Amino acid sequence: MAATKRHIIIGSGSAALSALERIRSITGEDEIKVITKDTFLPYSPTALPHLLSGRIREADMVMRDEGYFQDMGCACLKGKEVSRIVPERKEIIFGDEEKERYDTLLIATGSRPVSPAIKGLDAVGFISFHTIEDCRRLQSELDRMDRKGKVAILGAGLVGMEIATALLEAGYGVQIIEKEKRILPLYFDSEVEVDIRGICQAKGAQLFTSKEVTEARRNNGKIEVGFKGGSLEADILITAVGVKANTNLVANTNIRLRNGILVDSRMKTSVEDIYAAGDVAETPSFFTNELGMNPILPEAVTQGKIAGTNMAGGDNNYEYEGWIPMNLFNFFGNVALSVGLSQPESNDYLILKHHDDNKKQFKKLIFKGDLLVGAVFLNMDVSPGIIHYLIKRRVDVHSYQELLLEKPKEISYMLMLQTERKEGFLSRG
Amino acid sequence: MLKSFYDHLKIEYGVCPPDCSACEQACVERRGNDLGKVGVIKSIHTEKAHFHGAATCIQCSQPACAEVCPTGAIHKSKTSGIVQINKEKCIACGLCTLVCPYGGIYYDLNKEKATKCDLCGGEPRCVEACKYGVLSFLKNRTIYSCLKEDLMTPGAPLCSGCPAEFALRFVMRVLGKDVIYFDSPGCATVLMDGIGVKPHALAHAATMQCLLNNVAATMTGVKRYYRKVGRDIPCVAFVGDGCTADIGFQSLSGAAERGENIIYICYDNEGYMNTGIQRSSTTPFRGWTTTTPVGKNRWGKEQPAKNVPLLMAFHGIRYVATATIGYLEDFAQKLLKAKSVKDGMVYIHLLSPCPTGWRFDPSDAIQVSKMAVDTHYFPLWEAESGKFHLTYQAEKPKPVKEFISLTGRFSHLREKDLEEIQKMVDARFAMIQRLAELS
Repeated sequence: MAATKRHIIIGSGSAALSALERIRSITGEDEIKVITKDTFLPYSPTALPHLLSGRIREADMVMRDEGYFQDMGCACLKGKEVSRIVPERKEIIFGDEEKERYDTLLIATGSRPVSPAIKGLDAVGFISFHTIEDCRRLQSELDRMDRKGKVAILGAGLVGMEIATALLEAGYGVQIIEKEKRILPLYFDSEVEVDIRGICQAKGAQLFTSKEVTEARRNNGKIEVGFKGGSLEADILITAVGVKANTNLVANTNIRLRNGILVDSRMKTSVEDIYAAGDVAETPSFFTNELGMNPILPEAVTQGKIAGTNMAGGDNNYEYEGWIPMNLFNFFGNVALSVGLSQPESNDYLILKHHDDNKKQFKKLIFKGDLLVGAVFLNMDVSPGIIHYLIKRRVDVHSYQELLLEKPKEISYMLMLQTERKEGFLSRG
Repeated sequence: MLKSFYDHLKIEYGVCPPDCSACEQACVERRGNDLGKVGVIKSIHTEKAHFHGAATCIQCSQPACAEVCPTGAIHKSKTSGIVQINKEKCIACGLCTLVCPYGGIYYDLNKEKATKCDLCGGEPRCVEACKYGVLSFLKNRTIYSCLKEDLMTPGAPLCSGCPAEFALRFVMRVLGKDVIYFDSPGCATVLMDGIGVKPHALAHAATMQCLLNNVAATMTGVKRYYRKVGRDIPCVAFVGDGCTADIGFQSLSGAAERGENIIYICYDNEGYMNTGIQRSSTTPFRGWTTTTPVGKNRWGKEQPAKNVPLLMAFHGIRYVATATIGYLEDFAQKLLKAKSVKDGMVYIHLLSPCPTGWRFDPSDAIQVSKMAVDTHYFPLWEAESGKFHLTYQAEKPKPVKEFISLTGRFSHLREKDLEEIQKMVDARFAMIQRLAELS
């Protein structure tokens, strides 16, 4: 029998955990160590807005409970920060110069919020909403705030809008500032955005779009946020303008880096036996093969699985096929969904859509040749995972394009089933 | 390592009749207002594409929904295999619905939580409601949850397709290691004692080879010895029909009459197959063997088979059962019952179709076993201290001809013979039925 290996995982987010679970499912003997600077049990930033809305309690937010690491036969070093990696000696070195040797190493250090370069921003004090500490701080500021006070959110991406929804649900006044013309500009086109905007406004959200913030300052205890042609006042300022990969750790190594750590289709970096997965990794797009960042949870899980499989020497054919943008926005009993390409710019695509104003329903499908490459839905009864499946598996939908728009739930299910019965899991049943 | 197996909902995909939504309605009804009026099985109909089907969760072994859940609210139960949602932890982010490729998990707009099928805790209402056989609930859990380590080495020096090998492997996986297995010269001897092969024993368990005429007597001695030194060791015989019905019957009948606490399994391949296909007293009426040839003067066996399980039941012993590998769930349950008997004798009569002697394709043993039951040629029943009970009844029993035509040993039969055999089969089945009614 081969000698057992020693796997080290830096980080304890979704990518790290799915890698850990994969390694354990392949090998019962190998040593696994998870090192995280967090002192808390593993949690996902995705859940944070719902702490504010009161949908869950802090104790219910953890992804895995107390006994988890022990059950997985894995040591977990909490509150420990790795300061550098020495690939030549296969070692990681902690802040206190303590060393640890590895056979394979996974960097899953995730991302941190981007701090926008705005004059006076640091001085007024703002919250970038990404960790449980941020959340606790915001909650305590909210508790101190006058009930008539207002919160300003910088950025109307998915994170910004989810915080906005949560705060509105909890009864706070919310103003959202976005430099683009639309809210959720990356995922929804202008047609459906009108509906989403309308629903949010009806719930009390104040939306300021096409407003590039130029400065922030304190004024009579309030925060004044200035943009071209005006300004607004708030008691609390939250920034949500995107995230940036935590790549400091690899700065002085040969590991290739752009906006994130570059990896191949098995999640291996340019240095032997070092892998990266999740928000920290830069990977090719499913559609264009161009490298880029798509820091979303489902991709982090997939990348973690692939990294773990390859680290443990499992299925050699398990390769990453590239990321697919996908976003689901649940707001005030409505569901907006966008999978794949939502607003392609060239003429190579066939776009079919239908808008029902009265019911606040919208559906739009984007095809390239015989393939479905994107879909946008608002309040439609459809299984998002099946739409995702049709795109990812490159299912030939040629003869069903019109029908798929007319009956998306039924036809997508039928096409999924036909494909699965030919080659997939359900054929065995 | 053993994988886990669970009861599961089986869907025949895409064969629903148009416009039927009985499953979804039953689901909505069961879930009631508490869970929102949302069915978690969906009937899916589209006239234009001629598609009619039902969709729900298939309780994946590695559920993508659980992997992606940002609060760890979804997990697969290790005991039931059901993928469950902890409502307290669910934040309704909808990520689970984005990654499930089978359309098995839903976002409940009313309750703002994710929701999915929980198999109604083991009695799915949708299955009761489905009148078209599209949905069925398969209970394989009993078999698989009782399976232990495989004690036999892979492969076996028997004729290809021999179900005796599979049956012995299965018996050992259900009854386990702390058992002494007994055999006598016959096909299974090769498996247990490894005659002619290396390493010598194929079974990694305590085995003892007896003579054909003293299996039950030897078991009696061993069992009593261990009792005397204070240990309760199950003693299990796995021997053929020649040993059981002919040569060793005196010893078996004696042990039964004394009520020895042994488990005696006869694998009945209806002949002396190991020595070259000679008749035994369980060879069926008109069946061909080398000693009951077919020709001008002879027409297969002249006498009906000895009904050994019934004879054993009339000894009044604690437990008697018939079994086949065609109905494994049934066999597993009978073995478990057998192991629990501590105050008397157990006899199990296992039909073991012989591809070589019965003349059928080596890949057909399971099909032949099933057909034997479905035609009432070999009814599945048990008798607990004289109380009879049919453990499986085919909804529509098939004519015995369908069993007969599967094997070459009956290829000479004429219509007249078939009628005669059908009568015998009917009479034997009626007798078991009557005994069950009387019990």
